[in-house]
Amino acid sequence: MELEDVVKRFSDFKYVEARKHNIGSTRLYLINGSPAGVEDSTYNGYSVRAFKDSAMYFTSSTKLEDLTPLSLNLKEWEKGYSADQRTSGSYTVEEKEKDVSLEDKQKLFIDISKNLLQLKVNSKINSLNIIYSESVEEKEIVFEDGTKVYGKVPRIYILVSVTMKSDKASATFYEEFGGSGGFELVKTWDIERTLEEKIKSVDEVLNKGKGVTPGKKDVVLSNLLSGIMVHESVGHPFEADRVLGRESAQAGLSYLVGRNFGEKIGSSAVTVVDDPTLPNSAGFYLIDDEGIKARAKYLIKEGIINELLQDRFSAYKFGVNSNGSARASRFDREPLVRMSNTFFMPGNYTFEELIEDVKDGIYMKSYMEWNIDDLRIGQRYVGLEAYEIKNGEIGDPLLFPVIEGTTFDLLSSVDAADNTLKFYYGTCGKGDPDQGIPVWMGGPNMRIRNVTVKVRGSE
Amino acid sequence: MNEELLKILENLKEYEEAAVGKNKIRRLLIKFVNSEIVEVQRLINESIGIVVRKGNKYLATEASGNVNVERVKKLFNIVAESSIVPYLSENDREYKRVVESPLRDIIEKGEIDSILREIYSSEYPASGIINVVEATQSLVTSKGFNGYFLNYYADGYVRAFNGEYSGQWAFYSNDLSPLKEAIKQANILASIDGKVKVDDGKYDVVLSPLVVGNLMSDFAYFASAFNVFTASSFLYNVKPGDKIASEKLTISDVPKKLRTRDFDDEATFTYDKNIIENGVFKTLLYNNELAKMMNARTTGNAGIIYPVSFGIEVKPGEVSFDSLLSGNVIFVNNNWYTRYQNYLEGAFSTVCRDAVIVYKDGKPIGNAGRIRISDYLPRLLKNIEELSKESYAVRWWDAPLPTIAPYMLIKGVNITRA
Repeated sequence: MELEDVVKRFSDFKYVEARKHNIGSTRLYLINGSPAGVEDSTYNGYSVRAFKDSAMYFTSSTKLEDLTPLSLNLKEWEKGYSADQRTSGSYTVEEKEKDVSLEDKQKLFIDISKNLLQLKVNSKINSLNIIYSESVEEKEIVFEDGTKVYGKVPRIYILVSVTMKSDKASATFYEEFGGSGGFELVKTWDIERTLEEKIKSVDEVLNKGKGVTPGKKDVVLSNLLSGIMVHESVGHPFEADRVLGRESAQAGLSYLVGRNFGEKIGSSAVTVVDDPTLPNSAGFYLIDDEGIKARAKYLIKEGIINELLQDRFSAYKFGVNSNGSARASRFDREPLVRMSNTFFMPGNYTFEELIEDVKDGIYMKSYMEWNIDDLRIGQRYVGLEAYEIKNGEIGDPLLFPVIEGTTFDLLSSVDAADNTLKFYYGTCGKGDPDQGIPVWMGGPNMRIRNVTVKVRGSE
Repeated sequence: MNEELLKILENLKEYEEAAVGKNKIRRLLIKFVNSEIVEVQRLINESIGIVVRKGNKYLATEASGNVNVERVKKLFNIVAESSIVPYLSENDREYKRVVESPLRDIIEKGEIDSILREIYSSEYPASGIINVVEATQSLVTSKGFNGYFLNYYADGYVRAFNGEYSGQWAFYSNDLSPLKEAIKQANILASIDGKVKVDDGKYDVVLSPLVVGNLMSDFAYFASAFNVFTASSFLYNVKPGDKIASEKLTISDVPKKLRTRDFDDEATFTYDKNIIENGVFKTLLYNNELAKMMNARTTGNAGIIYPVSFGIEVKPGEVSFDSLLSGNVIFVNNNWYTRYQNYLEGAFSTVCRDAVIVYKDGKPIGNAGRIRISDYLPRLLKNIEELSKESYAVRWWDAPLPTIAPYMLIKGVNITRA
């Protein structure tokens, strides 16, 4: 039996997509420089999503023959789908370096771990653990009109987690690296140097970090901080299905409910893009899981609400076209409106120019805890590597400053961004059953003026 | 019994230890928004896991779809010796339990009319998920164990919207009887309106079973011996007998009471046990290998390499829920997005949502909105003042571990707002 045969089985439905979706992955684990095992997994299976008379049905199995229609008489929420042109085609990401043996990979990570554990720092490194994962995701989708889509994306993902303790304080933190491609990506990430720098600066914070003076301050957010902020306070609330309430019992609604396109919600220095077509990105695809060609979406243009992330079902309700944002994480998950690679556009400043104009402020380079409310308004970031800025110069390390404010305050207070653009790997969660998908999030170093800074533990 | 798995095991005789397990899930899921049905999903998932060990080398594999034993053997040849390896239990018993349940017809025949009637009956527009699940766990090991457990359960959650106010409730059960109560509770909580501003500071807080469930999912993470072993837990330096919480607090891992698991991934029979008893730490959650390394005994919570909880109970107290609200407190109906700054210290914040009601002299004066609990989990456990005698089995999207929990009054909780 083929996917086409399953589509025929659902011929009573107006809209049918049948998907074969395989993900194979191998993971290496290291604890404090010693191998701690290998896991190998394959998630291979099939699904059908079918729609008629406003009733949506999704079914999945590891066996094609299990996929059968279910007749239901429901009071339905979906009303229709946009009349977009589907695109038949395929996209693949090349693995330039795929002949490195598992032993050699393991040896590399043992060496990295041992070198990091031998670093001369004042704090004790209580643990340093590494997970290395390589995977290949393959999708084949057939629609009721005969459109066929094929996608193959190999990915590499590395997680390094560290616990450090000084006489004064402790820190647990992690660093993630990820993208689409082969083992060649690992060389571009410079993992050992990145972790060495981070361990040394966290050591400095733990041993020499000064208390934070709370109050309104200018803050320079690093590329990493602007990345998490764009994902949480712009990407998620710009998912059209969320604005419509489809996720209202899970991750909630959006501050965009009741707002209009063209409304200003940030300063003119704020432009936000979601682009799945970036080469070697974690969120890479060229045709989405509803057969719509992928493109870059400008969610905010110079502070003004411009476009939402849409799939065909949300687009119908908004009276617009889909912009190709539907993705499913595995064979047993429905396609949902998802981010891909979301980022603040860089500006024209240099990093030094951002700093030199700050009299009394904070440079927040990395964070530990973060979260945001279910309207995507109130958010909080607790700094890990953070430094005071005094009269235009970066000064002493600070112990864990807290930024807690609203999306509107933060987006409106951005007055400058530098000319760098860096991306960071993330696993974006959404939906029930939960769908963790790989994304990039990023941006420039950004300066925000006059925001509330709190002290951890005595806010 | 388990012939398919025994056949695979037969092919793995060259290893010192081998286990072959199968998990099969058949699930019918109903997603609803504003009391209308978004989608019905019927999901069938079958995966086979293989674990093999020889000396200090091991490999764990999992496959949905076809199992490739040759790939397992090929991969095993290139894995390195490991600092930690799994050990299977010396258990050669044959074990079979099959639970009968009317939930089976809902999954197989799509008989969901009674569920739809309940959803449509919500006074306020309601959103949520109802899950009806058939879960089959099979395991055979080279030590002679042959186990099979077929179980049914239902869980779900309901969020009712009264304009800008909302209330949420959830359930986990062997049947669908708690659904009506969940809808009722969500509506009652959504009906409490009015706004009140709460500034940063310390407050006495009453957590609902949903919030306790969310925090207990995290507590289970901290109680896993693996996270203590890797210095990722505030229980890092805690020893059995240490007093680490209020004497009112008893937290147990309860796979039997919740009927979630009969045997673990290493063929140890599960049992209910206290992790904290009257404020005193009793045990971490162990599998064989962590128990061996940490001079303890398995608690029947394997997870290969990584021990897990199969469900938590917080022992109820002796006072009524209403009495907890009698003073000046903030009642927190629900929370989400709990994130830790520091796993070693248990420092975290979480965002309150739905009915976050300020009580003054025992009377509700309004909803405080989306404030944060920004505190330390160990400190909260110490500052528990009272637990209600009412308790509920809950599970929802942001409290994924089935948990039986009462309401919990905690003194002096640090609250912040954006």
